Amino acid sequence: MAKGTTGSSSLWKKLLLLLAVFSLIAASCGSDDDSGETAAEEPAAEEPAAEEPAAEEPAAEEPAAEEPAAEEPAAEPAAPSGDMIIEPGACGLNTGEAATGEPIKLGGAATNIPGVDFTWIPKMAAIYFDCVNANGGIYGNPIEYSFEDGAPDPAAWQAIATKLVEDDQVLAIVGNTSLLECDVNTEYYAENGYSPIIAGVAPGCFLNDTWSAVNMGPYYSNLGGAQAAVRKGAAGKLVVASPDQPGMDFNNSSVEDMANIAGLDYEGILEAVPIADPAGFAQRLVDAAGEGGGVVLNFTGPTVLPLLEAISQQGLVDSVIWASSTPPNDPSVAQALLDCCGTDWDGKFLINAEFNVLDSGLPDNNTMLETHEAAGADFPISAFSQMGYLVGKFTTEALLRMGEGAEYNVETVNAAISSLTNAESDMLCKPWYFSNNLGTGNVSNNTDRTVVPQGGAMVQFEDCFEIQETDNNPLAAIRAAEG
Amino acid sequence: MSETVDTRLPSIVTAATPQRIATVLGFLIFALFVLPAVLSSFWMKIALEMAAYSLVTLGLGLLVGRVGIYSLCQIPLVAAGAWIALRLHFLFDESLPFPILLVLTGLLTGVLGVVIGLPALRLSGLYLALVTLMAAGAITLVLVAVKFPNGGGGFWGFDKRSASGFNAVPRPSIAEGDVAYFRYTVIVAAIVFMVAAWHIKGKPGRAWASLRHSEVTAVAAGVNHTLYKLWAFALSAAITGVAGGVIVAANGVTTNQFPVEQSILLLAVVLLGGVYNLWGALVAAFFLRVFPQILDKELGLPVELLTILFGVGVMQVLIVQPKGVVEDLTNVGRFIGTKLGLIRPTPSASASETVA
Amino acid sequence: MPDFKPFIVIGLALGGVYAMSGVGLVVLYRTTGVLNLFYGAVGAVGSLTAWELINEHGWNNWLAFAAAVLLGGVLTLLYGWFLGPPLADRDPLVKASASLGFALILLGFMQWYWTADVRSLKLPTSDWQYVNGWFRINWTQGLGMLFPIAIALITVVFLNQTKVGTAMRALADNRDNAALLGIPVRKVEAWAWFGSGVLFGVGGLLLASLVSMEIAALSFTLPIAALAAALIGRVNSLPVTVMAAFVIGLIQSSLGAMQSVAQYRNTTPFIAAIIVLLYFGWRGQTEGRVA
Repeated sequence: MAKGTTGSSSLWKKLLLLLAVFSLIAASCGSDDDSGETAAEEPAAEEPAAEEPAAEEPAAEEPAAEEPAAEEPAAEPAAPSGDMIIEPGACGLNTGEAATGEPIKLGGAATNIPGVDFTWIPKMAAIYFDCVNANGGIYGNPIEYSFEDGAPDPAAWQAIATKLVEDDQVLAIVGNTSLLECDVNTEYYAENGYSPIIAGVAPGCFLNDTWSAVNMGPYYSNLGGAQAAVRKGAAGKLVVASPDQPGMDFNNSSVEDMANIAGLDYEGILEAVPIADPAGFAQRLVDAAGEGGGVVLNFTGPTVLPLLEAISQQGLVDSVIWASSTPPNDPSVAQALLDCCGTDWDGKFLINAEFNVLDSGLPDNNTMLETHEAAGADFPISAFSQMGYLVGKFTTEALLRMGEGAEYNVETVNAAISSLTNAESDMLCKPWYFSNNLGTGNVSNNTDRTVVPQGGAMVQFEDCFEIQETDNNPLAAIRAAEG
Repeated sequence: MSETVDTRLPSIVTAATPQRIATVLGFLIFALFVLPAVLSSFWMKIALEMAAYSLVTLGLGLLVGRVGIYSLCQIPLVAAGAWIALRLHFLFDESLPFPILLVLTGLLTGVLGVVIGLPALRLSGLYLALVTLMAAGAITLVLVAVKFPNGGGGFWGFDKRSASGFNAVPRPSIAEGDVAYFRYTVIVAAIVFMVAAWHIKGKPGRAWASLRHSEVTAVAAGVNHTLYKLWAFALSAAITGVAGGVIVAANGVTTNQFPVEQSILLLAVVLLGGVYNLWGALVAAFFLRVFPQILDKELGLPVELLTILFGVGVMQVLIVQPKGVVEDLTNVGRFIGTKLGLIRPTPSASASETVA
Repeated sequence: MPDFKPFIVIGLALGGVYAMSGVGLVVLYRTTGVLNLFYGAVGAVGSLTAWELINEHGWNNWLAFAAAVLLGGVLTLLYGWFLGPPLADRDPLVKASASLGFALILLGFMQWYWTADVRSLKLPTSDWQYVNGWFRINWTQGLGMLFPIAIALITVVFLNQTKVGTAMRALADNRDNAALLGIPVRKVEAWAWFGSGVLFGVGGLLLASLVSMEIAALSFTLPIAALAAALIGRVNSLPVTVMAAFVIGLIQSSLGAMQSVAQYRNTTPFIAAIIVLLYFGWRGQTEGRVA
């Protein structure tokens, strides 16, 4: 918007031209996608070689197309591993009638400090639950959901967990997203019988069977970014840069594993955020990686934007292959990039996307956009809102699978959540499940995409691929258990 | 020269009147027995934080109120205390008894305080405050780079491959639960407050008061200003270090928990609470840890409002009421006491009254 | 041997931004005896306001930047006008602490009103760049380098040649005497507050454009190098302050080229200030100055 005032018409022409060129190239290369608007799901089906799809559930890959009638299963207690009760894009039972019964109380929490606002996740979950409540709730029982926010201070997170569990006496912990919590509250929730369904950031979220996240977190997302960079031809050296925060050494180490596999040199960098001199840091990254190397950035949108801007200003966009973990997969970042740097970044910033593009046009995505719009939400649509939507949908599914007339208490509700399997959504590459109790930690979301900024939007660059199995991660065991 | 307001110094001798002893005992009983009985688990945790942070506010309050040194380096000192406690914990193979750990942490942080204080001794007033601000910035950045010890080798004791971003020292075996550890913290705090009161009542306190009033006169009268200023730095740092040790066992710590602006907020809150009175440290700790929760959880107001309030408050304190909120509270208490006939009205309440 | 060239350009640009606010700090301190610690927050408010005017209200860029700079001046003036007099006779430490109070007010407001969204503010000058084989520089960086030098020169001329300027110098020299001699103290001080506020506003805009719009950082940690530079100039000498700012910017940036110490480069302003303050303290040069 900022730059729209000067020379905008020629800018638009260039943009359109570039878009056209890009789509031509994409089409002629036989790439599986042009601009991500359509067909995001179909290629998944023709790519099963890349993954070991849940064997017991071959239909899982086409959730959008053929979903059996879902109102009926309500009557019979649904089998825990049965088909989805929630139809694609539906809010719960989709009855259109408001739920008025006994409320089911759920709680969540998210980090909220300047620069890091994870409350978008519980906020989106809340919007989904509201939609469920307006559509029959859980067999007539509305979901009562509230969430806390906190700074990255262990004391704050212990207090929040105590409040949710002992004061508010919520039945389940839903949608928690924190820089710290998984390292702090694992034991507490486990002792009290909770199986939180969350969006994970701290390494601990993926190392304990207590938690299960709908996303894959920075450790695996860095790895996915590194894979994309290697595929695009990064040579010589892989560099990964993360915020200088606790646990980030560990998150960087997944890229080291990838470098070893690809036979490349490696360097991990931690940088204080916000980056005090983006221009200098950009130069430092390029110097570290060497011409033609690969750089994986692991920063949030607000932090990475000035860096990308500086990279573009210094003409370093083509010096190395730039990749990223999930957080900048956010249309506002794409728009800001267009504002600041024109088309410099189009197709050149490979963002590992844990979910489908935001304009896939598929039912769940559309419902998310519509409910978000209808609620007049005060936060933008992004990968974070997809996490919130999925947390909301899967929690609702787990509650519905308990069957009509079930008793709702901490024990039963958490049993239902922790035994959830075959949870489907068009936002994911394959069905999600809570845990297979391997003792390795849960990484059910382990197949994802790559997106790139293109003319002010984020578009799909690579369709679903498997996150690399390494000696240091449990993905081989997890996939074996998935069958 | 121009210290028109600041010359209203605390009384040099603070008498342990029966009323004061009763107040202190009453407060301890309230904290140890009434609070755990009435507070929910959540508010118990918040009360625990307040108890731990009352030591932080006490440490700074002593420097500001007694010696007239404005330090902006107290939050990094809390972090340093936590770092030292963790390092000692791993150094002694996780076997050091907690009280000994606390004492050692306090002593070592005190030494650190002297290290900071020694070169800064010849600076006064604003320059000294700015040096502490700069030191805070540097220490914070270094801490983020070296991180808290997690059992790794070497001097820094940090293991890169460890996944957890959070480090804690186990609580003492007699106080593992929240309520028990809260009581433990209250008792530790009470002991430290008594040590502080004893200092203020004793020779150091008199030396500080005279230094604060006029350094030249004090030195002429034979007060060793180097010794007593360093003593103040050491005591304040030691108290803050103990707080760090208590906090690392209460909740654990993480590196980005101690940003520079927290030190600014701390100074504001301490000034607001009242620096000429040890109870002011409690008021400040209440502002710092409890008030935000009340605002957020009970009233549903944005927490940012509090930053604004503290800003307004500290300006008001500096311009109008240098004794802080605790003075207003004391006046209210005195008013009620007078009405109830419990205490005789004093002719000039603000002239020389301080509770120690 | 790492390639230092890009880091030199970046360092000089950063140094220039520090110099800008540093000059404001010195002018204000010399005239009013107040060491302003909310200068960073004023710059932050200004740049966020500019962002809002451009992106939410469709203002022309330059108009919005002008508004931001003006806001910086007005906010600083308001503080000086209302809180200057009641604090005039107090210790410099108390004055500085009160200014921290105002910084907290601004910080709280910004964090409440602007929350934590993704933002970037790009000056149109960043689009124009000059490249040759040796280095690459855009005009924001160029402005950052040249502007403060120009400002410092203008300030010196202003202080020496204009009526208000001479009055400011008189105030700096001896406030009571100046008042006795009929110099309109409040008016002259108001000019100093406003003028320095304008500089803080410009500094904030450049910092937001060159570095980041993260609120707390933009208010405190990023601009602190300006304070360090002013302190090295003993909050008195404009040339020393400007030089110090450039040196700090250069060192800070160049350390980024060396991987082994790059992680610690942001401690540069803090350590520079500590060393210099301790040196002054040791030489006993603080008497009658800031302390």
